[in-house]
Amino acid sequence: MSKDSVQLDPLIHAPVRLAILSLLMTVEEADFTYLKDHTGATEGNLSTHLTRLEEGGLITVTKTFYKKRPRTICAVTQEGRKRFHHYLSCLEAILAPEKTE
Amino acid sequence: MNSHKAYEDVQLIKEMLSKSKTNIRKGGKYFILWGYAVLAGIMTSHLLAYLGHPRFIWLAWFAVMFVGTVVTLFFTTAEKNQSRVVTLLDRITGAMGMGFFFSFLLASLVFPLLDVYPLTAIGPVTGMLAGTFIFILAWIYQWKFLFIPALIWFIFAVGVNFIPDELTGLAMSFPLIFGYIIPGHLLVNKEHKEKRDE
Repeated sequence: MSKDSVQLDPLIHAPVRLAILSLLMTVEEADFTYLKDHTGATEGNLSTHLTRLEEGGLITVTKTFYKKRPRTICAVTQEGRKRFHHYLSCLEAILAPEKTE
Repeated sequence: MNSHKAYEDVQLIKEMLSKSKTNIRKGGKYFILWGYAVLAGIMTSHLLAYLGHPRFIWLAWFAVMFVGTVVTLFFTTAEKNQSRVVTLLDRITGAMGMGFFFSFLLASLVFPLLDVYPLTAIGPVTGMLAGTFIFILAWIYQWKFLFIPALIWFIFAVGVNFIPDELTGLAMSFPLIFGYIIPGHLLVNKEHKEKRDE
């Protein structure tokens, strides 16, 4: 795979979406507030990116209630894990030193 | 895509990974709860024996187990509902805690009652189980200090065999305080410090 031919997944490539997926890859599930605090995104911005990731099948978004307050819990799907790992492989390929004959 | 942008992506991933690293829920309060509960059980047993009511000792232990279980279930359920993030290690420590709880129940109450082994075996078996439990926690929490209480329990599991039978229960107070209650308080302090630093 040459560096020029590497195509990064556009669904993951946006910084906020990459941050969300990176966080969710290390935890089983996380709620909206946790993701907002750790990514530094605004509520509206985060909400938009979560919807994009959910529509792409990379994460699941479950809405529940705790003490009468709405709670949004997100978790990465198997497809999400697979595509994140592929994304990492692409980054590795880009960052790998050029082989000289 | 240039290398600089890829490098930025890697930095972002690294930053997110380090942020999520400190999210393991520590079980310090359960150490404290069960440490004091078992200590109360030991004291009650000796008091009952001293007062000449040894047949109620089992009842005292069942009461300790029952109250401890109810309080633990209450806290774990509340914690689970309030938690903003659940890690795989949270699930592992939760499952391990439950597994060891049933093992303790079998080793300290059920097996002796069924005459699987004599009462004198309770000390070494529970000491070994407590040592193993804390040893695994030390590894999971990546906190070297916890290996010391694990070692104290292993030493107790061996040493208790050389103590007169009537002192076995009291001897267990030592590893309970130094191998369970004090590490529990230290774990709670560590948890509070990590939350403050976050």
